[in-house]
Amino acid sequence: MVLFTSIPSLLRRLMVIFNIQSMMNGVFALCIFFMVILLMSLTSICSKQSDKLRTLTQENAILEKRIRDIEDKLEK
Amino acid sequence: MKILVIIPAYNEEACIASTVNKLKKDAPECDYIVINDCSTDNTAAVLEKEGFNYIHLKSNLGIGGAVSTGYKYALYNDYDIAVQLDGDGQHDSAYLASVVKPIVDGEASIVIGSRFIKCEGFLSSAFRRAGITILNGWIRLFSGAKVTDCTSGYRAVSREYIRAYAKEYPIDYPEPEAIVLAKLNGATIKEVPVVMKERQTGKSSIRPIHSLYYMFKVMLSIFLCRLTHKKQRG
Repeated sequence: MVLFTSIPSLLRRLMVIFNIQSMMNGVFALCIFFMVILLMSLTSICSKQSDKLRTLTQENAILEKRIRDIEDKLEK
Repeated sequence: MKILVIIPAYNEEACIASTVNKLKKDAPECDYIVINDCSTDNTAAVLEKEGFNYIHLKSNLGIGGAVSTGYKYALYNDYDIAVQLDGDGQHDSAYLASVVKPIVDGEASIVIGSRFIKCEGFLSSAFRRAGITILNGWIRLFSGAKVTDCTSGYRAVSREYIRAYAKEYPIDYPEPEAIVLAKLNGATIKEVPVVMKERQTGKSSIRPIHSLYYMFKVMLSIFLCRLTHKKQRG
């Protein structure tokens, strides 16, 4: 957005390529496009973190079980 | 052969004790592990009071996450065969020996206990049976696996697939996708007849209103699974 603000002719050329008549429409379309890209990126990050969280929860639970078993053995 | 029975449980305080006690009676030579999926009722207290072998998950991971935990436990403790058995009393542990036998005999690497071979006992609603039939066809189309009960959670896997499932196991409604994953990795899948009971207590994680959404989601998952995994030949 900073790039398009500083070099308006760049935006004009982009509008010509996509055959968009109104500059305002073009700006909104670009904004929506970038928001979709951002959403996809955030979804990907969320998904990876969900995987990591699941793995951590599972490993933590298995470790807790191991500790419980060792404590039981020591008590006996 | 070391056999582990994985029992995922979420809010099963009313029947988990009877399920595990029956399992201990029917299959005393098998080890078991109850995976308490962060139950909000007294499931944890029941497990501790009865002195069962259990793992507590600190946050709810769903059926896929719970079963995946069981497979990791089986891998770390060097089990030869892992069997999934629901904690709601639907699966009769009396059939455990028949579910495990083809793996012990080397005839299959994954065995599924199917309700629809002999068609006895609880067979679910007509709507759900129709959905299962569609999913069976979809699985056959994308993986070549011929199954009659793709949503059955009563299944046994060999050591090789304990390792595979510990590494990667589907999370949302995992049973059908797990079959596809295994088949694409070259598994030999066999089905044996079992009789299932109606769920004794608690609620299914699949509600009627979500059935169509479940169908769509599972079919999409299977399609994507086929796209992202190369089929092993031979």
